[in-house]
Amino acid sequence: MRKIIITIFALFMSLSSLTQAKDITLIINGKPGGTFFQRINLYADGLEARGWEINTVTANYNGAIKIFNESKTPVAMVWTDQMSSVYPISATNDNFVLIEYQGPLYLCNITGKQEGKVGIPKMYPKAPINKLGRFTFVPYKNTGAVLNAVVAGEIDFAYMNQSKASKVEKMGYKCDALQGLEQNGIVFARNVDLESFRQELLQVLQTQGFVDFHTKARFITGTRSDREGELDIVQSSTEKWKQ
Amino acid sequence: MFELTNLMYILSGVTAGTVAGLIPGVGVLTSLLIFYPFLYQAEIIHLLLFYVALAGTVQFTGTIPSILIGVPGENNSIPAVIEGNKFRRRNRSAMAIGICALGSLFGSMLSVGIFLLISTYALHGISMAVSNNFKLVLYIFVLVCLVMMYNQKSVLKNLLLLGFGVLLGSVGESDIHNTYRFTFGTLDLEQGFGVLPVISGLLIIPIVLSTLPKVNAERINFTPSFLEPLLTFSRNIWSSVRGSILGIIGGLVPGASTIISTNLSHTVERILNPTSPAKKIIAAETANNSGQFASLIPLLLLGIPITGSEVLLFNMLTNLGWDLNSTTLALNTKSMIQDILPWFVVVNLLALMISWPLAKHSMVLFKLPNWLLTSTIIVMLVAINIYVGHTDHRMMSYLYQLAVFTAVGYALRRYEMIPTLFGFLLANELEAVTYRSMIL
Repeated sequence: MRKIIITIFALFMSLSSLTQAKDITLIINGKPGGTFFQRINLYADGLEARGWEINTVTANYNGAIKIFNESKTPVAMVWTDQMSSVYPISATNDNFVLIEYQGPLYLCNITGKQEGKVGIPKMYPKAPINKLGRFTFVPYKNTGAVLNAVVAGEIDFAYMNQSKASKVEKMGYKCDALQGLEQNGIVFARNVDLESFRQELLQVLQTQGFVDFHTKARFITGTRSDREGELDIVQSSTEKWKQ
Repeated sequence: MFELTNLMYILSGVTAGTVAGLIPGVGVLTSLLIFYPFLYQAEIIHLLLFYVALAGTVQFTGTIPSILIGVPGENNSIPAVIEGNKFRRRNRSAMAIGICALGSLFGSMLSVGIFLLISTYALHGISMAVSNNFKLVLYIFVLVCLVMMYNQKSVLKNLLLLGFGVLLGSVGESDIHNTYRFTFGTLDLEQGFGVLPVISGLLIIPIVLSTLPKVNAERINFTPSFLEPLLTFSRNIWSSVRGSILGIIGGLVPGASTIISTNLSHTVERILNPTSPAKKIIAAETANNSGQFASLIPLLLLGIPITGSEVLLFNMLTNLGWDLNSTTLALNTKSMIQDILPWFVVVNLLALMISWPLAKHSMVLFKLPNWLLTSTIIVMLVAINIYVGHTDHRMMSYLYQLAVFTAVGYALRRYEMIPTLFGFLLANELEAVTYRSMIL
């Protein structure tokens, strides 16, 4: 009798853990229209299509980190490695899932000058620009605000990510990739089996929506190694951002 | 454009606007805050539709208690109280209600026409011109107006209240530096103080506690009439035209906005037609509505809020990703404005119905006991703080903040706290714009 009860209990537990593994909370930590917002929604659509039950919660960056760290159930959120130089969360073996894309950073020349005022998102490092000459930094909240400054014509250079640099180029300005510094778009998760979740996300990344999104933003994808290999890349990149 | 979801937001806004206009002390800001949980994650277009419906309806319904019971439904209804009293004494309240409703409709429609012209031909150029330094000049103008208009025009008091707001708004993460300020190592404070507990505690609860009037419902006695007000309005249409134009000019003044609109228009009409209460009340109430819509122009076209409720709306819009002056988004804003305008016509027609044929029924609110209205609003505000605090994963922090700010707000209840609201919600933006202008 005791064996039957234990067997049923074990079966119940394994079934319930299987069910739980298909439920996940995705933290929407970006504003509508922004890259983070688009990414997390694409993951939500893709995972849902693969049979996952998706819950979403909206938070700003600090709130998202708090929710992520305190969650006792499966949870995931998108991130970029340079933000770990500002916010208290970094890629570790316990939370890192994959590199979604890589993209160099760009310096876009707006006025044709050799040196001058650089519009810089507050979370971007100044060191790579300082190596290029004498620049005055004009800080903005994010890349979107720097783009606005380009429109308003108040800066000589715009320090941009891949996605926004392509918009600046469409406006007729020249953007040059900075050598040796790349932004990695990554995914964090907790309370799931990271390896199997990674395999799920790799499938989601093949969906047309994601392919179109990456193509439009000119993000570099398909640079896969295994999870440990990608974690090494991100950790060493994060160190560079902190310098 | 005429989607069911849009209609739901419009109807919610009209309902909120009806209640906000009828109950003194519950204005646009309070209503926006009460609906905060339903709006802070809504789509931008829905938030704007709700706001336009709310603010538009308030201008109609605020007139009803002013005329029928002599209590201003909103803070720009004083001319309606003065002139409405003359109609009431002669048992002509129905006439006053009718001509005010028609004047409100006229003022709204005229300002919508002007707004449509601007958004069609000038929006892109205007948004392109909004550089950091231009914004700084506009902010300085707004702040100077604020400091000179509130608290019996006491510059010192207003500066202190503004500074208090800036201090509160500075807590947490800066918009331009990777640093946290005044957080004392608390993770909850890294996100700054919650918008909801600060505004509920400092502004709304003290206002609700102190301004809800005791009304004798037995005094409400009127039966709506239609033909006579229509004829009277058409005979006095030039007062309405004057009121519309003066209302638009007054509506653009930061801080006072529609208060300037109604009083300016009322004063001019008193000079031109000192013996005609009809002309005076039509002009004032027309100005009220045209001013309300005009006050939205700086926000929607330049990204500069100029009234207390607009500064909260601006905060909510930017949190939803609304960004005015990027090339593509300016075009989106243009199409969004043109989507809103037809709905504004719907709002005005609904508000006309409520404030004219249905005006008598809407007064049922005044038959409720005062304590019931007060406690209902306060319980709702606490519940909303709990709900939003829970979704923000810092419920206890929200409750502590609400308790502290309510105590502070109550202690400061004799002061108008709008400068504090501006300081709190715009602190980071003001810091960033000022800092950048020093470099640029």
